[in-house]
Amino acid sequence: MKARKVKGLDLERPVAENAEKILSLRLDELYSFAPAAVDPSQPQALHDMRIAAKRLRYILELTQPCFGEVGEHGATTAKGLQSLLGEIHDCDEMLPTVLEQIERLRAEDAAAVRDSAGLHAEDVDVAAVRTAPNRTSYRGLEALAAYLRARRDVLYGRFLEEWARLSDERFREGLEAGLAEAAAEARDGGDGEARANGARTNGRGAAATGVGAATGG
Amino acid sequence: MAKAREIPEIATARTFLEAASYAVEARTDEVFSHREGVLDTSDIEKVHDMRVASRRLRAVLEMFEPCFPRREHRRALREVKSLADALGERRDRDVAVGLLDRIGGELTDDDGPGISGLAAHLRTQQQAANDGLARALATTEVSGLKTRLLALAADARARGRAVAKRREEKAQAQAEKRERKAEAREQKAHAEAERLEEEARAIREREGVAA
Repeated sequence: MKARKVKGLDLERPVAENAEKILSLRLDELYSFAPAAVDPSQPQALHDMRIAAKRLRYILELTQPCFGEVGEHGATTAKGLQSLLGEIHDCDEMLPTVLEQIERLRAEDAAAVRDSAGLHAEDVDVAAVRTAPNRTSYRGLEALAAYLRARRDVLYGRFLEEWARLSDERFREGLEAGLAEAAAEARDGGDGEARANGARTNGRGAAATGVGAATGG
Repeated sequence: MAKAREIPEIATARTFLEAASYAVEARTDEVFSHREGVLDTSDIEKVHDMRVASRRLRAVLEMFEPCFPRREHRRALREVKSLADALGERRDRDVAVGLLDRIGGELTDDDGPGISGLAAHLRTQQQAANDGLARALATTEVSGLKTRLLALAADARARGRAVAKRREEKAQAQAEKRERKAEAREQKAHAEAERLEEEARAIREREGVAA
């Protein structure tokens, strides 16, 4: 999933102003995957959402000195979401590996049993089953496959709950409002001391006032 | 997992350009600080830390893309992606092998053969991925990726500071101009006040003589 290019960045303006635009786009990307991600038949959407959460998180971590508590909370939330989606992704990657291994072993066993019957055999004696080299290997792998399916189900349920919680708490709106406030402060010219000290306000959705504007220009 | 290094200069940078330099410099240093021991498959956290650091570096390169010369930026980003991919290939096998080791510990001996067979298969892939990572790291060394990234950062910082200096000089010139205009207005007002005072005095004297 390629990151969308951000338009309208001004290299001569402070980070907070430009970062607000970037973060707004990255939030948009994250939420664009939501309708498909809550549909169990679309695992690719979860993968794309994980990538989007990762991008959002890394930028919030980087710009935390500009956005204070709002940014920090956003980064922590994005990290939690990314981690959860990452665990689901691990299951989605591992399960096919296990099933491919099972299939590989079956193919080997079938070939071995076939070979034991001889080149011109008209049938295969049931005793030939003892020649299947992997006959004791399936049990653990099937147990592992069952475990991965169960784990995936539980983790996906957690994701649905978490996503619903973020929606109920208006995470996106709060973060966007906080970022906009900090960016406006940077545009209007923040207090130099506040910028150096990274002044913070309480609560989600409130601005972090740790941003100073460049003078003049 | 190593926490991202906070970069306080991001907030105090006067321009996006300058901030780009601090971000790329810090994230580049982070990536290469994890280089030591990363090919040791008995300590998988080093690969994890380097992988996360490479993702953070890639994120800042993408975020600050307009700040850098296009060709150099694209080349550096491509190489960072290749390194990140190689780290990812190793990391994915590390995670899979780790899971199988834990699962194997929970199952009975009768369940063991399948798990250990798959683990052996994945360990072979892990070694191949490690060889791939070694090649990717060698490529970054030959191409001088770290040096080039730091040079991109230094160049952006110089340009950012030049922009900020020009802006400050312009602001100062405008402030001085405003001050001069204000002084001139004050002088003019003072001169006008003196003239009016002189006129008033002359009128009073004429009235005094007439009386």
